[in-house]
Amino acid sequence: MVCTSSESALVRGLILEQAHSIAAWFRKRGWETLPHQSEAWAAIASGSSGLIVLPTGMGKTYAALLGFLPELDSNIDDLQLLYVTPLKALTRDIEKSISLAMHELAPKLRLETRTGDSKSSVRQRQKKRLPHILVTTPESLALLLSYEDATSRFARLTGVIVDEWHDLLGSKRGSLLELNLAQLRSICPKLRIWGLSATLANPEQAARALCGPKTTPKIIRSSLQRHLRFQTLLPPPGTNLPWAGHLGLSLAPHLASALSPAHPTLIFTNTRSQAERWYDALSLLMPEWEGILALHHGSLAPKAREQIEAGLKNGNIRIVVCTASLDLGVDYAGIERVVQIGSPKQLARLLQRAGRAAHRPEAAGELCFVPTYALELLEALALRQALVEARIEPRLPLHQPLDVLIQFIVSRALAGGVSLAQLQDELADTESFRGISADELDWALRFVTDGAGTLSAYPQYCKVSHTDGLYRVKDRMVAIRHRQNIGTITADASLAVKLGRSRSLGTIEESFIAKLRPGETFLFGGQWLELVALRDMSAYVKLSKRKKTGTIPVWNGGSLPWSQELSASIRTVLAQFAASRTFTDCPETSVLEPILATQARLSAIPAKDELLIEYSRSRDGQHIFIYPFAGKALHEGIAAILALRLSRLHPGTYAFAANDYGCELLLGHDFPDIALAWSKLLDPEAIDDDIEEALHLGELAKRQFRSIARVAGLVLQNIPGSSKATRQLQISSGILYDVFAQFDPANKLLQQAKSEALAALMEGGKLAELCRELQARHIRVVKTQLFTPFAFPLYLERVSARVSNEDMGKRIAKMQAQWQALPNTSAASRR
Amino acid sequence: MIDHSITNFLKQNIAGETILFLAGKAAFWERAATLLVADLHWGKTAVFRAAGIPIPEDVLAEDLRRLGLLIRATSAQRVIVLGDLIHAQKGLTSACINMISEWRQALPVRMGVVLGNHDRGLRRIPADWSIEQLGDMACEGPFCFRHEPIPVSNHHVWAGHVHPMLKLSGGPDKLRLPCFWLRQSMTLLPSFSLFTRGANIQLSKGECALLVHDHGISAVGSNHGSNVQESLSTDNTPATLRNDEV
Repeated sequence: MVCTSSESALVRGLILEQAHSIAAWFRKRGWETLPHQSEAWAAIASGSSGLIVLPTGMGKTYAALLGFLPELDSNIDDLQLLYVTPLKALTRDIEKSISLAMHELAPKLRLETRTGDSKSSVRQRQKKRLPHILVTTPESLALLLSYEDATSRFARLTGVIVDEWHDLLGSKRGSLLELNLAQLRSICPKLRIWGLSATLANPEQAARALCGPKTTPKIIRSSLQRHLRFQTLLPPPGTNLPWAGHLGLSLAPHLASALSPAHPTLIFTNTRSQAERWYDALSLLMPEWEGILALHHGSLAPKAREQIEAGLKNGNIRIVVCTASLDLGVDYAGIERVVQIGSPKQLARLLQRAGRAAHRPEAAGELCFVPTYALELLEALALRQALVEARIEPRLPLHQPLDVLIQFIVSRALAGGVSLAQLQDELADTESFRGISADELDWALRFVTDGAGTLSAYPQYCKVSHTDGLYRVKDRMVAIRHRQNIGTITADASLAVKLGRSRSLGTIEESFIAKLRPGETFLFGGQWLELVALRDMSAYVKLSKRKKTGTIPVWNGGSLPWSQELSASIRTVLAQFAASRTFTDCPETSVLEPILATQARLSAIPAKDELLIEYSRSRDGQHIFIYPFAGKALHEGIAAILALRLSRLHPGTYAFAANDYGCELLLGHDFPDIALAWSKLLDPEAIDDDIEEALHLGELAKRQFRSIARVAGLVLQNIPGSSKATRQLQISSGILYDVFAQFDPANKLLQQAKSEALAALMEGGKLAELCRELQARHIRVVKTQLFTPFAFPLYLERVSARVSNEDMGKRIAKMQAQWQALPNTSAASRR
Repeated sequence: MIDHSITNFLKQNIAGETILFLAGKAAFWERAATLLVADLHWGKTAVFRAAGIPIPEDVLAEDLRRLGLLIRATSAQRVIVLGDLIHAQKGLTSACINMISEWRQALPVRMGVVLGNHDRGLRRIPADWSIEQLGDMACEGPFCFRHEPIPVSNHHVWAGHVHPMLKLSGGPDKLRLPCFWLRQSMTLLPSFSLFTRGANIQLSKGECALLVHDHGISAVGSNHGSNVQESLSTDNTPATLRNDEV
């Protein structure tokens, strides 16, 4: 136990007493106090705030909780400790851990949970009286802080513990929580805030964002290291991996034979539909695993997920195919292996998932990477190298997201009203918003009070009123609607999937189910279902008798691009191969070498100082493939700029696609046969203007506006009241975007959409840097007859965006011509 | 704001009558000098503002200006609204009612409305609007006008309600545009208001969609009418033929 000299005798006494009782309890359970735990308890007792940075499974929860627990006073009938977790699914387990400790150390305290799923009776009770310890999510906390009497209800709070802070930081959820924590700090100036985080590249900044820029947070790390065994599942001798695809099912039999129920395993996939496919494949291959093999993803009904989680814990379920839904939190001590299907895209994500195996301090985890196509083996090499070098991505707090600010202002106005000075103080106490200009804040305030229109008027509009120096919400319905829509998680409209009259299997996106007709089958929750009817926001289904045919729902999840750290590793690996024509000492070589040899034969492998460009013709037109190997986000930016610059050379419509390896431009057949000056096309000069123009045409900002409109309260996700009133307030963000662009172009949310889209593309100005770097490379243009191994995955990527400066009538006529050339469509028009 | 193209039209023969399909999302029945529009949703922006969602007032002003321009350009004697004249009763603020009254008084043209689902909440059409209430359906000559696209025997139905949009793709290009939907014994109009969204339609065999866009109007599918885009002059000189081959 470390005590600094500045601590008072009282504090020291407390710590000693606390340490004794905790140590006794730990001994009783056969646990050992870890150094970082006693360090954290001392820091909490001394009044500090801070961040505990540890790999998963190292007892973070108790490191923070037991620092506060002995101080809590059961005689004070008020909320004293908040435990915030990003996942609703985690609250139950956290509640269990806390109550275990409470039972021994502080039996008189009241502990409750509050999430969006809490029953209305619990909500009503908590409206009158909060427990001593509340386990909640950032969104439920934001809601509680929007109530009229928030200040008095939180006045006795002594501590906040934020779990998985690394997951929240860098997102709008994190920004909103930063604001809510600043609000709490202003209510209770002595509040101690402690974050729990997985390994981060920038712990100091993460801690400042959590504890406030005015404090000096303590950062507690552990010297304990997690050992990880990384291996790649290679196809059996004599078989090959496909050249493209994201599913990786060709390796399913091989994986099935490598797995064993004796070694509990989590199989991580990147998307829900991929999880469905893998679960389906494994259960067909291994019928004897029935009951011990399970599927877990975020669209399944909470009850089904809970059953699987319980089964994992008690050891009845041995192998689970899952998505990010099992990335975080809960301890499954028995898990021995983790399988990652396809690229994890980020080193941090891979580490997080690997941490699920052998969830115990100092135990070695076993991680198996399953490539979904041949080239992905390059990633296996890069991942292994990065793991050895212990490199990881930083997580940066967002820079002043205006939509989050607008939501916070309305919530603050609801919470008994707020003055400008108060608001300014709270904003200054956050990492995200402390630099906000008076102009921006003024606009946000006007936006909620009078619409902030410069060209257009907003009569009868008043969300927030400003009287006697206080911003308040007066309209009851506005208040109800706002509270129902608090939070920054945007989801598409989804329907409940119901089997029989009432059994809910989960939810499915409207856009998917709307394409199905009654009688058609689809795979959901590991079962083939037949759609019976769609009504009342529910899809009624029955089990399908015809097996193995039908559609797999594709949930619109964002596919992550390679992180910069991962792209850098890949480029290093590739350069090694280009130099030596072989990979030494790695098992992946036998599979990777033939495909790279094919690439070299059909085209080339770019050396370190080369940029490879391939030209290829197909019935779709002229394809140009460019391979910077810099991650999908930057490639989308490069492709948009090139499409724009090509359209200046020759008017037309240019489609482009991008993946993590490179990008593809598709030119129509009418593109003239001219030599393209790549160095000039890649010129970083004027890139900002060009990207803006490309964005304008590419509608990326409009896409970005979807979540902004939702967070800022323009598009309501949940509308209380009658269904008629609901319909009357439904509007798509696309129309809103068009209306603002036409009638109020100075609306700052449009600018936010643009800059968010820019940031997503340019990764903070990295695009110009990349162009400069590419220009400096030797450009190697190769004409190929066939699509090369590099080109093939790109060709199969969904065509994601296009740039056009063609006349609309011409575009329609062109499409009409192609459309009519297809069989089974109506006859050509009669002229 | 883009006016140069909203009076562009394609001429079609529907049930023996000549119809001008205008890029401004209205259809003109030439012999009866009648302009058809659907789904105006007046007061929609006010409904949103009252609910705490700031939508600029100019949306309604712009919708009215466009409709006035089309009435003048076609020299229509009469306008029939195919339902959803208003969005909701509570959107009809006095400012909104007055704006429409003023606009209406400047247009010496008869105007009637068949009732749509949104109009059911309308207690009474403000007298200053001089809009005749035509009930659920009005039939005239070969045509029946109604809001919802339900067939009527021996008549060609004109309807709104659906807000049809068509998705097109080909080679590198993709588009989604509002359209007139020319079906067997039925024609659906695109939603007139700028502040409405649409539903994707699938063209069946023999059907035609007339897509409206910034550069006018274009036909896809089994077009039995003209493919030559013409334009009405907006300053009351005779209609000029433009050589916009599509």
